[in-house]
Amino acid sequence: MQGKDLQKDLKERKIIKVPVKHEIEPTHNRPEDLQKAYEALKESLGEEWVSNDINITVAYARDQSVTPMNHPHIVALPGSTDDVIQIMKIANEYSIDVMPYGTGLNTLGMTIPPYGGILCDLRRMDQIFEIDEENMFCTIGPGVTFAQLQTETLKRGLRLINPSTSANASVVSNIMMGNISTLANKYGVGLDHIIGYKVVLPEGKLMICGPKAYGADNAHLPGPGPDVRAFLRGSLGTMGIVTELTIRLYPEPNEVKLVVPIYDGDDWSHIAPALRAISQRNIAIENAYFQNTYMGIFMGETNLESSKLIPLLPRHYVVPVMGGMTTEEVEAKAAVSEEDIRKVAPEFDFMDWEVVESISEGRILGIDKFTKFFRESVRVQRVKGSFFVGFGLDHLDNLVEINKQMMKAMTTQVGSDDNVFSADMIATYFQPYDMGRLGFIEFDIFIDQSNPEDSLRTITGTLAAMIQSFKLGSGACFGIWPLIEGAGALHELIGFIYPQAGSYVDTFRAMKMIYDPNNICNRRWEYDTLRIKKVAL
Amino acid sequence: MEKKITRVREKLTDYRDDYWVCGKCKMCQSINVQKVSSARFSYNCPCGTKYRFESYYAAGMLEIARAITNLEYEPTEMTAKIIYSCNLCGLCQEMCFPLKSLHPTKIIQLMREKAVLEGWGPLLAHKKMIEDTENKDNPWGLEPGFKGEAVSGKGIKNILEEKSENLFFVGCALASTPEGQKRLDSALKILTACGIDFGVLGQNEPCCRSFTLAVGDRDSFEDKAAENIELFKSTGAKSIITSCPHCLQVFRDEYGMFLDIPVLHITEVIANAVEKKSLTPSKEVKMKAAYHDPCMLGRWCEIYEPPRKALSALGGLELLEFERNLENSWCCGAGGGVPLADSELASWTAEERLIEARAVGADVLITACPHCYSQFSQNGKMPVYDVCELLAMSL
Amino acid sequence: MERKHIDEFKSLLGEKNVITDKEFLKRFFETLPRDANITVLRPPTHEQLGLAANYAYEHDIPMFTYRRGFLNEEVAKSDGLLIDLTAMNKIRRIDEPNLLAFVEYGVTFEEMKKALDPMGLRILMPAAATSPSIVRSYVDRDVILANGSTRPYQISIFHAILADGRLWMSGNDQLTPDGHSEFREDFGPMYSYFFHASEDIFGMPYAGKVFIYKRWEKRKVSAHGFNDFDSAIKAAYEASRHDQVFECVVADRKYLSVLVSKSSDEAEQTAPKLAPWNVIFGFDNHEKLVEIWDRQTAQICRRYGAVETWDELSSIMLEKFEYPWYIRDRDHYRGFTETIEYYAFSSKAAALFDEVDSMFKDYEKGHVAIPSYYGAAFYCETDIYCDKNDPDLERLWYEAYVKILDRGAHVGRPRGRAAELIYERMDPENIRMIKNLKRVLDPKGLLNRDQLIKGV
Ligand SMILES: Cc1cc2nc3c(=O)[nH]c(=O)nc-3n(C[C@H](O)[C@H](O)[C@H](O)COP(=O)(O)OP(=O)(O)OC[C@H]3O[C@@H](n4cnc5c(N)ncnc54)[C@H](O)[C@@H]3O)c2cc1C
Ligand code: SF4
Ligand code: SF4
Repeated sequence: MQGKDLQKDLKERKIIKVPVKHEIEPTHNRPEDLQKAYEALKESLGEEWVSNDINITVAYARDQSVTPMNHPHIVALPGSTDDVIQIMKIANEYSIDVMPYGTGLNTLGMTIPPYGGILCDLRRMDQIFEIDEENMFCTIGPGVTFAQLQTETLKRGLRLINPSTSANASVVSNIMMGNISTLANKYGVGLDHIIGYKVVLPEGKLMICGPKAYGADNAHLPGPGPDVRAFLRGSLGTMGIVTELTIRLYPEPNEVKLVVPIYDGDDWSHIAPALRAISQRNIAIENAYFQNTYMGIFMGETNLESSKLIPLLPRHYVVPVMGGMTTEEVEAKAAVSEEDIRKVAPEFDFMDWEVVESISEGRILGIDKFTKFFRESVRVQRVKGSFFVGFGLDHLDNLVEINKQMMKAMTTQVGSDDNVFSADMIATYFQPYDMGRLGFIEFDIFIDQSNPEDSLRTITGTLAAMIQSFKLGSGACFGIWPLIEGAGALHELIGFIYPQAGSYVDTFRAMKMIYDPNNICNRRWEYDTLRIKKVAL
Repeated sequence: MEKKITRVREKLTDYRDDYWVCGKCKMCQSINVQKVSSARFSYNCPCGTKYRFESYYAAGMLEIARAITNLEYEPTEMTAKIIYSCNLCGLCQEMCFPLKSLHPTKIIQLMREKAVLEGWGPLLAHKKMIEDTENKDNPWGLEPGFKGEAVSGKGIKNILEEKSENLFFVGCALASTPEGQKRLDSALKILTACGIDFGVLGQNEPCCRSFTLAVGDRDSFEDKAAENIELFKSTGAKSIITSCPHCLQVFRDEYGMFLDIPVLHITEVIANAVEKKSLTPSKEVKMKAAYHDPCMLGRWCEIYEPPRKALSALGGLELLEFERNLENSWCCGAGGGVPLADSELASWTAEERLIEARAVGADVLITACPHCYSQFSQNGKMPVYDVCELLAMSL
Repeated sequence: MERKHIDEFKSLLGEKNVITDKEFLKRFFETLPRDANITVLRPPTHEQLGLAANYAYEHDIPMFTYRRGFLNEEVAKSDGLLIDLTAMNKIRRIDEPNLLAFVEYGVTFEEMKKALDPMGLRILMPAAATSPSIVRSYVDRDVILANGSTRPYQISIFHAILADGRLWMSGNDQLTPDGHSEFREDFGPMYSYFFHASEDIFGMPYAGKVFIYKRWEKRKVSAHGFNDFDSAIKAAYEASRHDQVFECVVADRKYLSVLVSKSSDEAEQTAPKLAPWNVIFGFDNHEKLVEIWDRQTAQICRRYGAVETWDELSSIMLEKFEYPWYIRDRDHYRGFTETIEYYAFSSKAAALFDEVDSMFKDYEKGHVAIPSYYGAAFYCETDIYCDKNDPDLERLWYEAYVKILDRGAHVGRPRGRAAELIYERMDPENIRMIKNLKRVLDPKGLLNRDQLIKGV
């Protein structure tokens, strides 16, 4: 759409500034098709669950990331798997894009529809279908949040893998993409928790994975045969919409005890050994490293209070949470952990949990509430509204160097005028995986979206940091490829730089084209040009 | 229009940082997660929970605020429909402020004020209510005079004629119906039993105009507020006692800057009397009841303990707590002018609370707000009592 | 096969690594058909494997990988290649600090154990092994003795050659230099996981980075006897759910006596010393913790009515836990051991065992159950000790699978006729997904044709 038409459309929709990116010569999301699709959606979902009003679309047009705003044309709220099937069918019929939306809390703009279309907000599907106490699993819809599910599972002596994201994030979308959590070292990440699911494929067909695919009990193990479950983890909404997920739950120990090893020095080299010692012994149910920046942000009621607290707090924290059948057992585990850390990193001290509680003035309600209903992490957004994440994956001892180089790259870009937090305010978090065999590094930089300069600095800073991280050999995770396929010559380039990745990206491309022949499900690139499409405005 | 109370008016754009900083974390879309005790009753925001589109939650409304102040689009009828679906229950702010230092409920209020100033709000039903309030000095457009009738012949002092230590501000709600007057009688009986020296304004009692403010007409509100402040001062009362938390809230938060008379809710007075043993109920009130924290009394005025204290004096009462209690209390549906514009949403909200009351094992619901009272009793599915009513029964 | 192809393979792999000799072929087939025409390739490196596969692919030559046991006759008559990867047998790296070992296909559990023992490290052993190759066993998701406290995937990353000779690396090896990251996940939809338990239809995994574990200060094994299965599995469930044990095995007298013996006589003598059911716990950690766990699990067992069992069992199992438990090692008892394997909830395990038993009424049977995921499900195996040529065996085996599947048993890695049974019941879209990936990775369908599902 160009020129006059565009003006007219904008006027009709009362748009004064840039809400919808219009494609040049669109093949999808054409106005006449949108109208037909809208009518069809109302017919099958019920009028109250579909809207194309700008006041409704606006709330999905932007998130906390630096991704430019863009409105969906239609928002649909399916209430069942059948509704989702209908949405996909209608979208295919009229060539309208579909963007699945769990709670939109990913930090990278992944649910902002690049070209508009139907945004499929799954929060109405908030049923907890089943919690099997004895056999430790549950089946839920994509609208169920961590707070809701955790509450119900804990009543049955079971623990859910809750990441330190918002407690009101969707469990399903988190498990399908991120799921970085302090429980990851012991219990795994994402796919490790999935027993099976129902997914509506882009063409509107239903696929069942896991034991239920052939009528077996949800007996936890992958299979039968090829692990088809893995198809959706990391696909970021490009391959279909999960409408029911069966996940594993873990036994909640009778007793828990938190050990807080702290170290207040500049030398980071002690951190990896300490973290590794705890992770490899595998007696802590939760375990991570974080910097005083986080601690200060979590504990301070306001930004000001946090900036005062941060320099007063010890710089480095490792936070293993011990679980056990008896008090004797958790006490022994805590003692063993202390002993292990003292052996490899004698510089560490041990802080009392009571101190943490007293600093937070009882706001953190005991270890139980602290670890299971972690409420404070969203405070990182309070600093400036949003945060940008740098990340990487490597063996624990490499993370320290990666962190150092990332920080350097970031601070030279970001500077430290009054408006911007100093290098210390860039927060690092190490999450061990696979019982201490490697770890995830997250690197948060706080950003004021309403200040373009700040945004730009942060983007360049994070990119510089990411390049450092990759240069040092760190890995990628939670499926970045679906988002960047088609960006420039990346596809070819990746085969050139990483020949071993070539067969993977070719496979991704081929499978996407088979499963989404009309390219409607989170469309990012065009099949004919194999490139990301240009947009007007 | 000229401002009548001279407090510096806040504008939506004063909260620019708030709507930019909202990270859509959705912590405002459930009750305090550390206190959730079941998935079923974890939801908080009535309009968001009913309509489910993000725009009906505080986070979405903040986004609308951002977009319209950023001139991304012009407000439409739908914009008004959305922002007037909010009960101003304050729960979103209760969740957000401690974590993020943001004021989502305040922003919704300011959007309404902006709407009224710019002419795209309030909704039709609200306009009538404002008119009625301006013309007849009560939100329902009843012929003036009912307030005097409600207290006449009951041996109550008129504070304008006879000095009293305390002004009991009856409020439009209790005085407006025969059934409300019964509860008013209970309140009068209790105040007397507590040994309180009080008088009323009778025929001269004005409307507090909290509803007018809630739907965004600050000018109309402030006009009257200035008059009311003078009237209150002229009574020479040492304190004002209200039965309605909505009156209480505007007296404290809005009139407060220019009114140096302390304002108490009647449950605070009763709790005090119970504490001092000057009120000692004698009859048992046998029931299993759950106490509903009215939004205005609880979250807005932070009065949680006094009504419980008052009820604790009752023999035979098994007092239960809602899963969503105290600062997590679910709204009755009556706030923010919602019943006028979207009665379906309002009664759905009340129904939801009654389901919760049954889930915690209650046969009876108790409240301390006349608006909650009528919202719940309209539903008719569970007996509803006011705190004063129960105490009066026990005397 | 045409001479020119064989010559080409010889030039690619070296003369001795291309074998057409019938005598040699016999080790792969139970009965080698007269018209067998298959050629065995034993590539020494993955580059050579890639070149050979590429040549075969270009010339439409079917390829089969040798995985375990005997292959069926059709393979022998396919005029294709039988690729035996065991010649790639280097331990490429043992990364002690990060507890990973990079091993080629041919490296066996026994070799690895030898290398790891002096370093105070271990590798986790499978309980129903059919191949000594670590990569094979782990890619196939063989049940692991410590599944209750670890995870079913013991391989972090694998490298494979696709049908057309292209390289496939799983997980983060796709984007990182060797020795970095080594995380399991692909950087998009995780197609690599499809390769597991797939009978190599998508590609030929030739090396993998496998988890190794520290040997901690204290190792201990404790055995508890029970009179009935119900109590035994409840005790195992509770101990696992409380995360008290490293290894855990519930086994009956027959199974254990066959497992720990070398001959049928020895087994017969051992059996009466054992309790009808036995729960064996392995511990490996700090002394203090091992002592507590041992004590607490003993209490759990007592609560479920534990009785005496053979006093030597603990020490024998301590040794047993150090090696894979090969199914074929149990053939000494009655000549052959047939197995029925599946996963089930603890509370259903008894009924499923009974179901299988009712099929094999007149047979000698052993039973074993191993928890996974803290007891959330149990691997259940019934061993039928019998004569291989028993005419009823195959029919009963098939019917037993039908019965347990009807009752909800989950078969994690179905093969042969069990696979057919399962895929008959399978959601058609799920099968289509397998077929589609196969089409993308091997459009000509040359690699391991019909090995997982007919027609794939
Ligand atoms: C303060 C903060 C802290 C965080 N900390 C963590 C952390 O500790 N660990 C962590 O893992 N993450 C963290 N995150 C990231 C974020 O919470 C998760 O990524 C988030 O849970 C993803 O879920 P979502 O519902 O928000 O997904 P969305 O943003 O809604 O969706 C993510 C992607 O998945 C797709 N999708 C959503 N639902 C479905 C479905 N049903 N089927 C198919 N595709 C779907 C979408 O299209 C999109 O591409 C944090 C975020 C914030 C804001
Ligand atoms: S209003 Fe507050 S709690 Fe709600 S989404 Fe925004 S920042 Fe989060
Ligand atoms: S004030 Fe109450 S009704 Fe209004 S948006 Fe906030 S939580 Fe919802």
